[in-house]
Amino acid sequence: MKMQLALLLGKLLYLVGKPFGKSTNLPGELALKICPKMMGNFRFDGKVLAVTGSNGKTSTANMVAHILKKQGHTVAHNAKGSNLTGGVATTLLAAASLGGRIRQDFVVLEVDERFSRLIFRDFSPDYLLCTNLFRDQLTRNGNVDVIIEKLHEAIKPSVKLILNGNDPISGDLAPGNERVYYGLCKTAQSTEKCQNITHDAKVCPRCFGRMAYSYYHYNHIGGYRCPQCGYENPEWTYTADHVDFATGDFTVNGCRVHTDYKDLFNLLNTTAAIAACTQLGLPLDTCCEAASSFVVLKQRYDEFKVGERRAVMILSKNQNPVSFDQSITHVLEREGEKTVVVFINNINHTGHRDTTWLYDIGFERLLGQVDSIVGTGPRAYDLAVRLKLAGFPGEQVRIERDLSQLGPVVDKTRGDICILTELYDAKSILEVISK
Amino acid sequence: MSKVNILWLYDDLLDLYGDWGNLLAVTKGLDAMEIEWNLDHKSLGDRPDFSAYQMVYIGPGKARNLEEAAKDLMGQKEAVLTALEGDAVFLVTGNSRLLFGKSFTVPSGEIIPGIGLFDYTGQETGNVFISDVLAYPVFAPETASYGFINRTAHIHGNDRDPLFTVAKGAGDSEAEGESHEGNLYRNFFGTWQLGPLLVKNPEILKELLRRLVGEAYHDWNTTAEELALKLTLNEMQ
Repeated sequence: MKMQLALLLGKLLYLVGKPFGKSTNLPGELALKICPKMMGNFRFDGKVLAVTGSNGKTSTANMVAHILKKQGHTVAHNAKGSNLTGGVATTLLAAASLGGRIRQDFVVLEVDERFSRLIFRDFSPDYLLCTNLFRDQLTRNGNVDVIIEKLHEAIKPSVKLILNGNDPISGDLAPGNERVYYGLCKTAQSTEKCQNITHDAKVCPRCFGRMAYSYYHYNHIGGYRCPQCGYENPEWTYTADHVDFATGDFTVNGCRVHTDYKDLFNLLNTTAAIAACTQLGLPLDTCCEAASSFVVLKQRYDEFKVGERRAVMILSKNQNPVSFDQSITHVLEREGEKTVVVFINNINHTGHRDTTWLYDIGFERLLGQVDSIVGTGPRAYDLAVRLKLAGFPGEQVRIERDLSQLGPVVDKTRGDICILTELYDAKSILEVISK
Repeated sequence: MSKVNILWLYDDLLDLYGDWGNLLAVTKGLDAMEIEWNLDHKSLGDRPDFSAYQMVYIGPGKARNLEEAAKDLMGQKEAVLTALEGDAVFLVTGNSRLLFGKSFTVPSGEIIPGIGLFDYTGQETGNVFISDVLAYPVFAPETASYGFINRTAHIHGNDRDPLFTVAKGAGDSEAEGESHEGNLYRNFFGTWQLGPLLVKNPEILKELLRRLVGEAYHDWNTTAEELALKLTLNEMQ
């Protein structure tokens, strides 16, 4: 009875809230209050794939759903990145019949790694894809070991894992579970030395010996081997290779894939999505073809014009240095003169004034590559200090703490405007700069 | 002063947060004073000659990694204590402080011995605790400092040689108004405070460098750092 009531009221709330954009979390939260065991009562006709990891889970899950739909399959999917318990519950109840049956061919659930154990308390996916694990918002999440413990509580023995063979940390998840690996061979953009400050696998996660890398894709993702215990990249079932950075073409197990978004992390995410869909039973060639038509969410990487100047909004996550490093990679890939605008706030949600995380980001990579860096927001002067210590000459760093006064400061700079900011702050910056 | 030798101990094992910015601040300060420096990285199994270093830095790390570091450091206890008593500068931040107490308890219940420079004991809880801290260092009681605590461990019984008098936020205990935090013993600076501490607080950096280079010390321009600190403190007062 409780289940039916939860579904009925949840669905009603979902339909009523939909026109107002209020239907991503609330219906699920309400339904779970009525029937706390609701998640365990759904019956799935198709396979369930969960996608988690520190970075890239939204893009990867969206790509999986895109590939499946392109092949004519029906998919239930939390496309808006509503990846906490309420969001997943909403997705499932909206897809289910009043009897709790989910008829879609596939269910693709992006799941926050911290909430995975709560989300999967009463049901379990057939497959779990983990894109990677990095330090991320340490003020909220705790460190990578804490995240791994939470994931281990969530992953039941029956779950088949799809893992990143370039990541020594997430690649070692739940060692007793069946698994397949995907990986990206050394590319022309891979480096011998780590280009980033944040490197979470300097020591072997198994024996604490100093890890040796033959190449880095980014941060601790690459080709690794522990000289002490022999822990190294596993054999990959899905191998990405032959990357042509001029055209955006590469291969997965010899099959051509195309992407306009040529960063190494996106190549890995694309390979992950293809691996997952192949595991779900689709043929490799059609997966590669469908993946080639995927367009990264505009919201995360948005090009526009400010007067005569080109501008790009690159959403970054504060306190997530790997995400921020990737934004810097985007900036460096752009040709021509450019100015970087960074909004540095206090810690989201708590308001603490910590800026330690700025020292996990490799701002040094921008040295000599930009006309100037403009800092704004409550902690803009802490950014100025960070950039001073990185070696930027004072005249290249412009600080205007008050966002409303930013326009004239940006006007004095030259080149394309690259805005690096959190989703929360993006709109207010756009309003000021694009006036 | 010919050259300052700095040791970043357990650089690969204890490197959890941007706390290494402290070393960046130290080396940039030395650059500004035109003093040569050398930075070595040593970790598990290495047996550095502590007498060769004028400064040792140990940063915060993951709980499991800290256990490994503790076992390794015990094997060098005498050398470390000798260096400390010989007035080498130590900067020990975050949970690496646990290495210098009597012992600390890990979630499995195991008690890991520390090298016993201080009488405090530690406990790893697994729960994240964060706090902004407005405090006054004991060597400059009129100079307000800012730090940020982000820890999953606690220290009990730290009742001598404090580094800070806390005005706002948490100290060694989580209770608001706890009067002390950290340790300053000879030239050993130990604190929970991140920031990174020496970047955020130029006066603390300068005190550490005075102790590190002695008569070779002279002031340099830290206007940008002072402004960033002032704006933070203004929001807290």
